[in-house]
Amino acid sequence: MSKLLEVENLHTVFHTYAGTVQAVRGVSLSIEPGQVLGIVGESGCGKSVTMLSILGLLDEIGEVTKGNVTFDEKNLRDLSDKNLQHIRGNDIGMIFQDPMTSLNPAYRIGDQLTEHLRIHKKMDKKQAMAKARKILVEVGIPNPDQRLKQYPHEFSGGMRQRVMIAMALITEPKLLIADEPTTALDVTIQAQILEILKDLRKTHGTAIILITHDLGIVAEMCDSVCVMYGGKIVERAHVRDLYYTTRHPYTKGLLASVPNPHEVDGQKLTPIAGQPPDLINPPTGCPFAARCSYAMQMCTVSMPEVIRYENGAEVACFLHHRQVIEQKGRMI
Amino acid sequence: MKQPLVEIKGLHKHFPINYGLFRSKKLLKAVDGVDLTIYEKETFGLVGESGCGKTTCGRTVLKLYEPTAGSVHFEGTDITNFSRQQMLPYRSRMQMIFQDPYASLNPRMMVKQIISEGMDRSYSKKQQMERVKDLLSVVGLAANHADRFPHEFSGGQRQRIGIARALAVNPKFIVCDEPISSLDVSIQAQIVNMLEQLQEELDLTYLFVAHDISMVKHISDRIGVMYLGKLVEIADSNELYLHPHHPYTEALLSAIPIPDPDISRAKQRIVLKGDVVSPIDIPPGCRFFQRCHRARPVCSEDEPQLRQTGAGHMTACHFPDE
Repeated sequence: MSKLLEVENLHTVFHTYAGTVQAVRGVSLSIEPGQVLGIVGESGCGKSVTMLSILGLLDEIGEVTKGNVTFDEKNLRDLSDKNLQHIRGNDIGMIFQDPMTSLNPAYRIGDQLTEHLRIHKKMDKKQAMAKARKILVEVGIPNPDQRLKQYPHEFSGGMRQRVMIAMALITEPKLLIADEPTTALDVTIQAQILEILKDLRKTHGTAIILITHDLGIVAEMCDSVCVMYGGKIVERAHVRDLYYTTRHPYTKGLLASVPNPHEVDGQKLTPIAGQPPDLINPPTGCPFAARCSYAMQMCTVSMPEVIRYENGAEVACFLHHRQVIEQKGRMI
Repeated sequence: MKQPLVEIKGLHKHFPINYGLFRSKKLLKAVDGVDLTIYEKETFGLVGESGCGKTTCGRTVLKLYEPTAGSVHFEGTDITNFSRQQMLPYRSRMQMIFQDPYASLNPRMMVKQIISEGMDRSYSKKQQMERVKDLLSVVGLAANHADRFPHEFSGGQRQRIGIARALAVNPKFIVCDEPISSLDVSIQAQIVNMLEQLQEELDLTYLFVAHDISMVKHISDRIGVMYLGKLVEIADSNELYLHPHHPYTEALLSAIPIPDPDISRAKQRIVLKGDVVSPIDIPPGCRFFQRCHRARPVCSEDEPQLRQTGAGHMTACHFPDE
């Protein structure tokens, strides 16, 4: 199947007073139409920055230094700001983490929702409002006529996140990027939002990139998963493959450090010791080597090449290189 | 026989809110009648959605807020109406670990000052510094960290400093108010394991307040579920997870995403309708009535009280068996 979005060897840096932060260091990923791709990792691993780089939304100190971004057979890095804005408005929707600050408090919900349509689809106000009304019903907001005339402060957190989803969907994008869409919400509201995202994919066939640190959400929502660490993707696999035949020690560590409520008793959490690496002076070898219990000498010296498996899984770890397996046996 | 350490009876905490042209007096009923006994050396988990009053409850137990009504007994002594002076000896026995490690440490104080501030002044300066070093090693930091300032530490390390500060006065009872919710997954497990280990070594009792139910279930012996200022269910943590009696607990549990693709895709989820009702105008009858799938006419008139529905299992619902 053809790829909807393909990112190759993306590098992004931030020029700060403390030095140049290498936030994304060679990320490659792709997503097919209608697929849900999860990106997991801890704060500072570069998952949000990757998405902002793809969309050309980095702030002034950020810069994409290398790499290609192909969306729908167009190279986004070559496009002018105006054309890029056209794509962002029409074909790619984005939901941000914090619904409390992502809406403009001075404008009515209806005006904010229809802004997209009036600019990008050149609709008149009446048409746009009718469409906005329809989309509010779709994301489960009762009394849409009344709601369209209200301001963001009249909405609760869950309702604002629905408005954000409605706003991202109103132009019927092919790709939806959801950056921690439920982190600020309660579990019961989170469940409602996840159900909406699932429906969306079923009814409209929208491809979704879901950025999260919650391995439970990934297990439930995603088809395939990229695990990021220290600005790199360390493992990529289909969701069942990732959970049941985990290949990278970091993924293994993550899975061992979250409680599974289904285990009745005595589950011991195994935390990952230490801290994530400093990306101003990133380690030359594998970024996880300092915290990895399997680390060998070569891990701190050079970055392991990515190994590809037949089922599409990829892992960047020396433990899976053929010579290591021949010498030491399979350790993970 | 388990010894009760903290006994809470009919605890209420109402906050007056004044607004509008005529300053109409309204009350925000954050905690509205909580009865709870916490036994020695146990971990009692308190869960619920934001705004349900779990943090206020924890703070009122420590008398950081004056309770509006009800009583708090600590080791059999009624401390509800104690003055600041009378509370002083108790302050060293009950401590708190705060949610936000970025806001709860004074940025102008060095780590050693933060940790030693509450220590008994009858110790010499030198003894205090010895103790600071001991505490730092207990929470997994190095002795030379004592001379640094909070901004030099990461979130997980700051939370360790907050724990060292709480331990500095040798408390028996610690209220942990969302101690891990601002930390990364791999760091959360570090802190939770440390809290468990400290409990064993120092015979601590925890009131663990959090909204992450899987973590609360992992660390707690018993769990109380709060909704709009009231406890709706109390049970042993496994019992609560396997056999919830209250429909709210049921919905809350079914909403947890489980880190296992086969299980999480197979399970049936109860999606609650709507949002939590405002704690300012609480309707009569059961507080959960509007969102409940078991709701009957009686629920809108008569508020169910917490009653025994199994061994060590209390539920506030008219129809706990459905």
